[in-house]
Amino acid sequence: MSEVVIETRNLTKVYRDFWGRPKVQALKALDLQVQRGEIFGVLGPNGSGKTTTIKLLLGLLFPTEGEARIFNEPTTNVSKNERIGYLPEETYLYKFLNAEETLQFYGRLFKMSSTERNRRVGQLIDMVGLSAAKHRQLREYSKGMQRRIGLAQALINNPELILLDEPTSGLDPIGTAEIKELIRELREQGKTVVLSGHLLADMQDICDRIAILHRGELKELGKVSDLLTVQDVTQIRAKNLPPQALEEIRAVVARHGGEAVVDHPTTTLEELFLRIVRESELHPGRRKVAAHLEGGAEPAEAGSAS
Amino acid sequence: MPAFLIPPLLWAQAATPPPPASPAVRNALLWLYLAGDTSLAIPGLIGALLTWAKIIGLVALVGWVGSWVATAVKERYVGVGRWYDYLGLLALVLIPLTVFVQVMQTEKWIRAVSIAGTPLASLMGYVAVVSLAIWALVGVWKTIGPFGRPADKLVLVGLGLALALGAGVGVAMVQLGLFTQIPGAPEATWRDGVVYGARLAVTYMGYVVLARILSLLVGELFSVRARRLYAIARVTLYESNRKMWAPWVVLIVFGMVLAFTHWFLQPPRAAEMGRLYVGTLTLLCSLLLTAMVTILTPISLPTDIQQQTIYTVVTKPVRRLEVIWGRMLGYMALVTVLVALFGGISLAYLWRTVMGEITRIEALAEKAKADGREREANQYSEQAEQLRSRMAARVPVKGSLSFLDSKGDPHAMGIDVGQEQSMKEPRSHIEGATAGAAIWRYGIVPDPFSPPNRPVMIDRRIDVAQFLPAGTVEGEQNRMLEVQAQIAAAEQEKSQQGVTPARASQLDAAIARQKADLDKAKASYESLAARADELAAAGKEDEAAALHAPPLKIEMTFNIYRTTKGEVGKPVYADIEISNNAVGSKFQDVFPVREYYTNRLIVKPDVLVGCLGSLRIDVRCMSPTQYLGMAESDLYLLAENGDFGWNYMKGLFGIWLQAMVLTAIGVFAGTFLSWPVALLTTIAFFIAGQLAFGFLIDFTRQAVLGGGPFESLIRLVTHDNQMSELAPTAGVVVAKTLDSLVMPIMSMLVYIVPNFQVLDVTNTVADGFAVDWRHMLGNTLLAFAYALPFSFAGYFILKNREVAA
Repeated sequence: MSEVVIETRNLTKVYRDFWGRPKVQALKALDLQVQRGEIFGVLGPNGSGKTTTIKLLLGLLFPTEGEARIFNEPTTNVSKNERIGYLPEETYLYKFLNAEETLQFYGRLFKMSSTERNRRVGQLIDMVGLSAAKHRQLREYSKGMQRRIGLAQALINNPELILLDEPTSGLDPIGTAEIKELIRELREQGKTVVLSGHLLADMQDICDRIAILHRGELKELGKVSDLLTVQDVTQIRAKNLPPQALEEIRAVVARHGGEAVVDHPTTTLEELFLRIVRESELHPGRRKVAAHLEGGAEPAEAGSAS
Repeated sequence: MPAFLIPPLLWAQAATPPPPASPAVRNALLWLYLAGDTSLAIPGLIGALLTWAKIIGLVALVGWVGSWVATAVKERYVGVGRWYDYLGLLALVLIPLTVFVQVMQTEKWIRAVSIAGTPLASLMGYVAVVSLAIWALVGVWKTIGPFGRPADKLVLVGLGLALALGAGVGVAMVQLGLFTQIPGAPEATWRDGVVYGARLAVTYMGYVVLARILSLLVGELFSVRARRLYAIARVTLYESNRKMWAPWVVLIVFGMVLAFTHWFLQPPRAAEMGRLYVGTLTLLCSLLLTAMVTILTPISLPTDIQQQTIYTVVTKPVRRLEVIWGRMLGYMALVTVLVALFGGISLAYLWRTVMGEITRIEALAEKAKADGREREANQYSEQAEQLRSRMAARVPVKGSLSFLDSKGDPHAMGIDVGQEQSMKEPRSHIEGATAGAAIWRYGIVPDPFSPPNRPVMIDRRIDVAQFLPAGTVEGEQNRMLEVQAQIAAAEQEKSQQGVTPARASQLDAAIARQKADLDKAKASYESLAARADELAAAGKEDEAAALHAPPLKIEMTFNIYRTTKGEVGKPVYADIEISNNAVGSKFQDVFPVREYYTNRLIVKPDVLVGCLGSLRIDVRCMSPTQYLGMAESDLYLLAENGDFGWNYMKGLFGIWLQAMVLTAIGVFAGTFLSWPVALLTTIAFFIAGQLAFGFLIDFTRQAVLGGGPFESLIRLVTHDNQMSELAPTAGVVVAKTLDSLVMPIMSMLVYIVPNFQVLDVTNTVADGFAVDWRHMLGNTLLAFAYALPFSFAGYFILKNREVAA
């Protein structure tokens, strides 16, 4: 049985006004467990309690009822932070420091030798692609660059558990893809990643399990693959089928009392964008737009039946 | 007897017979009594520490109970219309009503009424206090269950025990007659004991909460790491430098003011130049540093919380105490650098201006002397010497001043001639050509302000070796006489009845040893004296003088109050008599008193020989109808002249200490207030501690003329002066009631507002006196006594607040 890294029991948060009157119930009796080594996504629309959950897990907020434990310790224990990395929703860093000073500062807060700290700082700056800008103060950084340095500070202590609050917010698709790749790498290293967000495609791509919150309540919890499988639909993919083969498939499906929908699959906009950027990097200059896109005609490449 | 069983020295205990109780019980009671009422301790380190612990304990008690009651209200455990809430409401109504009744009785609106021998107002007050206590207790009890830890419940039990202990001590003190030991005190009843015991109990309760707080702090203190403090301090420095540009702004303002200062600084007398320049420079340093710290410190943490930068810090393994101390260290590093820079620049500036002026005047004196203009040369030399005396670090040895009035009767103070006084050290006068005298006593002497029937002895002994060094004629002679005195004392003790054989044997050994010492000292003295005489006879005066101790310098600064103009050009004369009563030697002189200047008297060192640290100096005014004014610090033996530059930096260290306390307050305020409110709070603390501390002291002593703020408002509107009695109209009664409610709260501020004035020693430096290390150590302890509790309070607030709320 795998180790439980995060556990919440009846975790509830009510925001109150100055006089102690309840203002809003941000989280209602949340019960969940996160296992070591998984990528766990907390999904929900704005105001659903995602960030509140992460803040409660970090001890930035105190629960009104219930409890949360990380590494089987209360969230108010400072010692647990030795094993945690956190990237907030916005990049809240000291804008008057440069990238190197920022990472040196956060590194000094952990128990690591100066040699190890210097090595780690250099490695992380390279990893997030800020080597050329490492001596510039953060106030001069674009939002994407700030997000990258924010991620680097979250990883400075080589944490076992990484909490990322909307990690791809403010990033362009390339940055988003890199972050997603990085998160996958972290999983391969055996780390546990909890991320919140509302960009469903991103979450679907990388999460092992997800929890869906709405108005502070847990609405769904489980493996992404289990939750997204449509049990009463079968999908067959084929390439270069002639039209008569499609007719035959339709007939077979009809004979078995099914209904066949035959059309061509579309790629995602993210994949298209990334492909264009990659091609553009390999072949600079004006890209030739496909004739079928200009004229509205669609080339037949593949067929799918579902 | 173990040290803790030795009874503490109390004011009440001095010169009083022991009470009828066993020594152990009496000692235990006296210790408990002292711990509960620390104002009874003789001033000193123990008294100061106990008072500090008591105040911190009381603040902690109020904070602890207040936080639980606030939680109880927020969580709706109280304030929901249950029976105990009616008690709280009753207390809320009864407290102002009690004060109102009391004021009406005082203003004779109503007759004083007693019920069962207890005045009505007191009875109402007791009911209000008990009702409030029950309401608060229920609130704490109901909240501590679900929210508290076992240790909090233990504190609650401890508070109950403290209450019982206080009442027990109060009643026991009455039963054993300890209260009646104070001469003139009325006979105490058991009721007095209970009331007094309740006051002691509140202090004991404070100690209980303080113990709980210390237990929480111990773990936190051990978890503090230097690397994290360094990291946060470094970021704080970067923030001050890169975001606020603070050091650059301060340095530029300092430089600009300094560039034009000499245009506007015109000393009233030439001798005052050094004082004026030093005073102005230290004031400038103080203003700039305190202003910088006041603005910087309360802004940083609230901005971090507001901009949520703190999220990425507190989610690292950073203790909340490190967040506070790291910031304080960062700011103090900046202040340290600026103090060093200000010190260096100021000293260079003083060297160029004041020292340049001294050199110029000395050159003029030389020229006048060479030209045969003796009078002018003397004037220049004296002027240069007066300037030099201020640009030094003189170490004064001060005696205890008391007075004889015109009839020769002793008093603690002389005649008040109605001049404006400095309350720090009031100056009083002696009448000329009468028996009036000012007497400075050295040795173990009675404090002139302590009651004559219970004198408190103070140590004003002279360290004779400082003036008569070993290896000089007078030094060896003094050693010889001191050993003789020790032998005489030992022989006297030996001759007394009841000396045990063991003690007698010890004394014999000591006498033998001392006699050997005496022989050595005598031989050394005789040899040195003979050598000095030989050299003097041979005309080698300088070599002979080197064998003698340096002459004794006495400096005096008196003022003259003239009832008549006197003869124009003729000075007022004073007579000085120095008596060494141990050997019966005397020195006497008459000198003209120069006002506003330091009068110097050079005396042969012989007068100190054999004095055993005791000396008496009598000063009389010789001129009839004129009055000579003096304070204790106005006459002293000059021990040495230290280095001015080093002394100047000690003065700046006082400003550094002020900045440290202010930093602690600023950071503390930033833990729970938004930055504009935190800024105003820090400014308010500084103004109250620097400018209004004396006013707050008057508040606690109830010595403010014209009543409290509401009564003063009526006086302002009606144009009544501070002294006149107001007619007891309804408005006046209401104003006095409101004052009676507000003033006790305001007077409590004196216990939490730091005394910034006392940390500032720049006046001592400007006057040309050395700031001694003990004084600096005392000020450092005091500054930490203020700064640490503020930082701990900030820690508890930051720990218990939701930084993301």
